[in-house]
Amino acid sequence: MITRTNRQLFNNGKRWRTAAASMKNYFFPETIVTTLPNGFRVATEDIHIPTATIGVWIDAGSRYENETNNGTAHFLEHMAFKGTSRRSQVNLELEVENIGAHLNAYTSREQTVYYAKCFSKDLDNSVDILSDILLHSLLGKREIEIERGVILREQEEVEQNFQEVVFDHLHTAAFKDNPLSMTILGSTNNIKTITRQHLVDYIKTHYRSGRMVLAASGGVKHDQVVRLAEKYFGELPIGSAESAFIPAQFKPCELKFPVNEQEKCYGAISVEGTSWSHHDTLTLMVANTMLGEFDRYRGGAFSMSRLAARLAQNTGILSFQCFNTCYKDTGLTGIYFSAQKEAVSALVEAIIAEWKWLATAVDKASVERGKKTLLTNLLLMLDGTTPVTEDIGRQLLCYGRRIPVPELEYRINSISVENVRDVCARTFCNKKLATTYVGATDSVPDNSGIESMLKL
Amino acid sequence: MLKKALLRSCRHYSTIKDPTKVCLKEHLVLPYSTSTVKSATDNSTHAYVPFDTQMSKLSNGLRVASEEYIGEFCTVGVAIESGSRFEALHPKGLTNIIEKLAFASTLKHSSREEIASVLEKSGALVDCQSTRDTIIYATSCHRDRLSEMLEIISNAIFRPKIHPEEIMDAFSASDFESKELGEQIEIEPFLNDRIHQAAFRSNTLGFSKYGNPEAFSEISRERIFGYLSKYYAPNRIVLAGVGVPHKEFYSLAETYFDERTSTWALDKSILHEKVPEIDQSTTQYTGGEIRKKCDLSQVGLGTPYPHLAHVALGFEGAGYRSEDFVPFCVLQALLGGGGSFSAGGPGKGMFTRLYVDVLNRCHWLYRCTAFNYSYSDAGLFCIQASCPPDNLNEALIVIADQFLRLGEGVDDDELSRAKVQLKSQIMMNLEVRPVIFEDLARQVIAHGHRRKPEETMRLIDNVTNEDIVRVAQKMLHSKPSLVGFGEIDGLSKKAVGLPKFDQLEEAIAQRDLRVLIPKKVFSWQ
Repeated sequence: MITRTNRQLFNNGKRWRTAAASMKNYFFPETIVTTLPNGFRVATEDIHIPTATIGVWIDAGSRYENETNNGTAHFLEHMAFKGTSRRSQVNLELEVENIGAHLNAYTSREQTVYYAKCFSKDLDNSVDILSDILLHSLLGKREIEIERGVILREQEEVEQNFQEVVFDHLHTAAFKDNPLSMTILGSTNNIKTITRQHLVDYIKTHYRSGRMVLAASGGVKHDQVVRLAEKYFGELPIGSAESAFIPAQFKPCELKFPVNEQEKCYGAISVEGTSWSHHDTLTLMVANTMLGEFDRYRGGAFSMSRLAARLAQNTGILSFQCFNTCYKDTGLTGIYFSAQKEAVSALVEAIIAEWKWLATAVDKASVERGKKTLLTNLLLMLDGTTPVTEDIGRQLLCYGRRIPVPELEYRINSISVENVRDVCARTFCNKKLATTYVGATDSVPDNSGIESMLKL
Repeated sequence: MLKKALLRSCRHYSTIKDPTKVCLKEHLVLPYSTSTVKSATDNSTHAYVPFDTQMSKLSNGLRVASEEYIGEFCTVGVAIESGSRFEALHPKGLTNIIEKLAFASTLKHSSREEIASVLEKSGALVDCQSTRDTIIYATSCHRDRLSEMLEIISNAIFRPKIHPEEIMDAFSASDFESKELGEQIEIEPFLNDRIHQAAFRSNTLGFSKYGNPEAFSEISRERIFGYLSKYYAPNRIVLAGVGVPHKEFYSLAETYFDERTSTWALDKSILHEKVPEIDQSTTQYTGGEIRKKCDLSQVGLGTPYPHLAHVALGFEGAGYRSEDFVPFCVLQALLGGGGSFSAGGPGKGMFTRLYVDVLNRCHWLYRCTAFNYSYSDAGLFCIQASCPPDNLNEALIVIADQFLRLGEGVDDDELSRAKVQLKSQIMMNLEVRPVIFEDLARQVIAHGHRRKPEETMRLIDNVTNEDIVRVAQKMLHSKPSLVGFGEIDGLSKKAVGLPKFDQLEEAIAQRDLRVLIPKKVFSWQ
C-alpha cells in the first residue's frame, strides 16, 4: 500500500474563513510524502529549478550504540567515500566530480545523513551512488586502518574545542547510564578497536527500511524520486527503530574540570528541555530567542537582547549562547558561555535573573519581538535546496511529517505571554540543574545556590 | 439541512485546540484559509517560473528589474555603479567610508538605532557591500514589509543626513578593517586587493577598496555629498527584487526613488564647491609588483595555523563584456585548487589542476587557488599560494609553471569536467535568494538586461580547447603582476626568497623558468 499525505492539507482550512490573518499572494512549495510497502519513506519538494539536493536521513546515530561499539556510526561515515563493490574510491570521486555534484555526510547522536547536491538530470545517478555507498561500501581493512588514524586526529581536534568538550561532558552526566550519554566519535579505545565486523553489523542492524527517509528538494519530480527509491532501496531489510530504542532520563549533575593556568571558564548551565515533538518546544525556542546571544569578538550586532546588553557591559564576559537541544524523548535547554573567571558569578546571576523574568514578568512586546525574530530566522534559513532538504529529512524523522510553513506560523503566532511564562516557570524554576564547567572553575557557584535562587 | 451543516461546523470549530498544547507530530487544522497561496507545483499557468525577469524604467532613468520566487520572503535592493575605481579625483578610500555610513541617520529616521528597531519589528535584515565598481544596498524581509523596507533602502541612498559623529564612526570602522585585513587567517581578500594594485598601478581598478587612514582628513561631509550627488544618479542605479510582483514593486519604486527629494537636491549648500565630474577613464593594465616583507608568525596564534608567507601571480584577464570572459571563467574552474586540508566528500574540485599537479605533489603548500576577476572594461586572472616562508620562491615557480603549461592546451575530459563544474557552481549558487538578487542586479548593470542562466550555460558549452589556449597565450603576453607578503626572503640562511621582478618578467617572456631556480640547487649536478 502506498499512502500519500499532505496534499490535501490546505483544503481543510477553507471552512474557517471567519478568522483573521490575511496573506499576500505567494508561491508555496508543498512537501509530498510517500511510504513504500517496506516502510521506506520518500519526501520531496519541487520548485522546478535545474539543480537539487537529495539524501538519505537515517534514524540511527551514536544513541543506538553500546559501550563496545560506540563510535561505529561515525566511523562508517568516514568509510562511505572509500569505495564500493562497484566503484573504486578514485572512480567514485571522478564520477561525482564529472557530473558537477557534491557528496557529503554527517553523524549526530540520533541521525546519520548522506546527501548529494547535483543537477536534476543526474538524480538517478546520485541515488545510485548514495545507495551504493550506504549499502555496498567495501570497508576494506587497509582503508579502515587509515581512517582510524584520521578519526583519532579528529578526536584530538575536538578535545581542543572547549565548547565540544563542555557539551560532551554535559551529556555524559545528564544522561548517565543511557547511550545518549556517549560521544559521537566514541572513546579513544573504541576508535582503536572498532573492527570491520562492528561496521558490517551496524549496517545490518540499523539501516532498515522503516528508519530511512529519501528526502529531496529543488528540481525534483515526486513520482520519479519514488521510482528511484523503489529501484535502489526496495530490497532493504524491514525494520523500525523501536526495538533498539532505550528511553533516556535526565539526571541532575554538577561537573567541574579545572585546567591548570587557565584564566577563562567555559560552561553550560542547563535544565531538562523538551523532546522534538513536545508541545512546549516552540515556546522554549521563542524564550531562547528573547535571551539571544553575544560574542565579544564578533560584536557589531544591529540590536542586542536584554541579556546581551547587560552582559556586554562586563568586559570579563566573552560570549554566551542559548541552546535547546532536542532528542526523541527528552532534551537539554540552557546557556553555554565563556568568561574570565572573575566574571562568572555576575554572568550566572544575570542568567538567573533572566530566567526568572521569563517565568514571571516577561512583557507582551518582548514576546512578540521574540516570535517575529524566531519565525524570520527559521524561514530565512530555508533558502537553497540543501537547507530545505535537511529540514525535510530531519522533520520526517522527528515528527513523522513535514510541518507546513503556514502551520508553523500559526503555532508560533498562537504563543501568548501567559504561555511563555507558564512554560518557562515549569522549565527553569524549582528544577534540578545539569551544569558543566571547564577551565578556571574555582569561582563557579554551586548548583544548590543557583537552584534556590530560581525558586518561585 | 443548512442548520445541521452549521451545527456540524460549529461543533468542529469548538474542537479546535489551543495550538500550544498540541504535539508537533499532529496536523493542526488552521482556523483560516491559506487559499491565496499558490502551489509552486501547480500545473496551471500561475505556477512559479524561475528566472522570469520583468524590467522597466522609472521616468528618472532608474532601472527596475524583478523576478518572482518561492516563499513569503523577498530580497530587494539597489546596485549602484560606484566604488573605488571612480576615486581618481576624490580622496582615496572615500567609497569605503560611504559603505560604512550605510543605514545611519536619514531625513526620516534620526539614528541607526531607530532603523534597527524598525528592522526588528519587521523581522528584516539589511546589508551594504561594495566592490571596486559596484555598491549594493539590500534587504531580506517578509513580502508584507516590502513598502517600508524599500523606503529604508531609498533613504539610505538618497536621503542620508551624515552627521559628523557618524563620519567619525565610519573612520574608525574603516581603520579597524584595513588594519585587520593583513592579519586574518583568511588572507585572500588582502591578496586580492594588493594584486589589483600591482596590476592596475595608480589607476581605476588599482585603487584599494579598503580604507586609507592617511586620507581621512580630506574626507568631509561636503565631499561625501559631492560624490553622492554625481554617482548616486538614477541612471547609474538598478533596483532589483527577487520574490516580488513587478507591478507593485514598480509603483513603490516610483514613490520612494525620487532623486528630487534627495538630501543634496533639497539643500545644495551641503555640496563641496568643486565637485569633480564622473570619472570616465578606461582601465589601464600595467602589471608590476607589490612586496610587503613582514612578520606573520603571530597570525592564528592559539590555533593549529602555521607560520606562512603568501605569493600571488597574475596576468591581464578579460572584462565581462569581452568574448574571452566565459573562457576565462572556464579556465578558473579548470585550475581550481583550494586548501590542502579541505574537508568533506567528493565534489570540491579534487581533480582540478591546482590539486592534481600542485597541492597533491607539493605537500609543503598550505593552499593554492585560482581567481578570475572581471569588470566592465578589464580583467585580472591570478593564482595565489601560501606556504612556509622558506618555500615561497618554489611556490612562485610552481604557479608560474602552471600558467606556462596552459599554452599546451588541455585534455578533453578535463575541459568538459571544468565546464560541468562551472555550470553546477553557477546554478547551485543561484538556488539562494540573495545570490539571485545580486546576479540579477549585476546582469542589468553589465548587459542592460538579465542574461538568463540558460544563455550562460550555452556560452560555457561552446568553450573549446582553442579558446583556452588563446586566452592563456594572451595572458602571457601581458606583463606579470606579483604580490609577495610575509617573510618573503625566507627565514633560514639557505632560503632563496622571491626573485627580482625583472627576472620573473624575463623568465615568463622566455617561457623558461630555469633562471628562477637558485644555482645552489644545481650545484650538486
